[in-house]
Amino acid sequence: MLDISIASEDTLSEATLTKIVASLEKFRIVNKLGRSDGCGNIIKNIEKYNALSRIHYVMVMLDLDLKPDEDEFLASIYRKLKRKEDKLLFSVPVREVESWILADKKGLSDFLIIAEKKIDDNPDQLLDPKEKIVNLAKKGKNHEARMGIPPKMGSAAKVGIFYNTLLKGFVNETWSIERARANSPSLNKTLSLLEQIA
Amino acid sequence: MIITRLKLKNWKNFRNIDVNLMDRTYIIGPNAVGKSNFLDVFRFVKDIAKSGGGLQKAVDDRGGITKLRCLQARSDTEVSIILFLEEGEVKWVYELAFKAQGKGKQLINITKEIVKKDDEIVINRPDKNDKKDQLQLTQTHLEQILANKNFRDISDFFSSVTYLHLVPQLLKYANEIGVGKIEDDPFGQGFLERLATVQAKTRDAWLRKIQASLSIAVPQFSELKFERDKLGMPHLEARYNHWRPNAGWQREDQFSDGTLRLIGLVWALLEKRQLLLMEEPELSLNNEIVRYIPEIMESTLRGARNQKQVIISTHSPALLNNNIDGNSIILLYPTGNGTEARHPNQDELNTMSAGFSPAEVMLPLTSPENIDKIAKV
Repeated sequence: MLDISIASEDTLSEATLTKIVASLEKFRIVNKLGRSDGCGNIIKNIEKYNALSRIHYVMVMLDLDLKPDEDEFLASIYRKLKRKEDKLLFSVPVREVESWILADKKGLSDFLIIAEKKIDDNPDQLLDPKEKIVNLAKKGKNHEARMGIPPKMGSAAKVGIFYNTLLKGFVNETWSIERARANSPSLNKTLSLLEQIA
Repeated sequence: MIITRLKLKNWKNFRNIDVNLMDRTYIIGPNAVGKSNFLDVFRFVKDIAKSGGGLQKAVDDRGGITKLRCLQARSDTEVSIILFLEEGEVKWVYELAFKAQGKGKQLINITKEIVKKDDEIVINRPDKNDKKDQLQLTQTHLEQILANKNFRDISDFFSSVTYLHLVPQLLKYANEIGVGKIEDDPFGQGFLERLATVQAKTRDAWLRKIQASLSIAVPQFSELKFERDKLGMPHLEARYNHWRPNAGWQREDQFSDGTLRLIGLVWALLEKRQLLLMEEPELSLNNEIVRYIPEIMESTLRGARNQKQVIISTHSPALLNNNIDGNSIILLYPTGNGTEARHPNQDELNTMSAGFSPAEVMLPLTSPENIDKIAKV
């Protein structure tokens, strides 16, 4: 088994990355880091993750969000490092982890109880995959998801209060990595990166 | 003197644990795992050693042996506590084991009481006197002035253990609640009387220190003083820079919960006691203040005549997001065989050495596995 620590900005990303790493059946996850730090802080503290990757692999998951280009984004992070360690790996969902969730069309359609054809084919190209999930949940027949995933009327929040919990449940129980990687180049890239490690 | 190691058998949630303690020790773990029960060991030896204390009473006060013994203790029902202590070069070990007599009044019988000083046996019970007179086994030598003269140092140390978990409401609504005060006042109901018993000069000096901390933490706060009312009852009074310039002094029942907790925290540190137990010092306090609790402890204790040991239970990321020595953390976690305790393992220590805080590495481990489900109940 290879040692690896993972870092992510929120609990949904952590659940997703945990499942991905575990699916390869060759890693022992040493630490799950990042989310107690709050978002933005991972980049601020990137040197710590680099230092840890001297001991074992560290996979840092950072959403691309609305930044125009992944390579440029990663280059901007590398510039913060004195010397990037080989075992420091980056996983960059385009644009956020929700596109990876959307990429398993069959799984998500079963979960939300909604026609598969209503789910986009190329989730990496969506500018706001989170909003997409919210809208699909609103239309779906899964009562719990319809009530819990979208925000309440008039709420200033972007998503509902049960959003993370429900989607984490979906990721853990239903979401298929194999189905999803076929529809999301950015997920496929993360998986390939992990697969290459021997 | 400090306690450097603790071994427990059948103590409350703990079937069998063996942990090291540092001059600051942080106890973390999920709810109901036994953080308070862990701290209670030290209160228990205090209850034995203090004047008017004793083993029988200490057990009684905890609801009897059945409440105190680990539920997982089936075949072996003996409760055992072993404390390793150090003062400078001198090393002490105090070991106490006991069980119920199993007949009559169900008195507690000592099955073992051993004191070692630098590996030499000071006492080793049961001894021949105990065999002649079985009743002697109902009292520890720790609690008897005549019997403990060769290890008075550790008896005095145990007696001086302080626990303060100030519950602001008990202090503010003392009259309305009107419940009796618990011995040793662990919840700060009698905090004001505690203040009153301190020599005026010392008290004023300490209040000035507290005032200095408060005026930083609570920006509108300006002055703190100790007063007695017409009936002679002690009070704390504070003045705030207010939109009404002559708003006057406010009494403790008008203080905010956070203000009272901070006063209690600093006061407990200032008291010259050797071992201080703090239960969740973060409660009611803003994270920005909690973040500084480890530093407040160090700066308040600096120069104290008795170097103090502090054992803290906490859930707070802000508190643990500090450069705390990873070895000073004890993680409690539930298992089918009672609660287990461990220090960070090598992986976790390595992660901390790379620059991660104990909060980042250790606190995620205190989250119950199915915590997601709690919202669905």
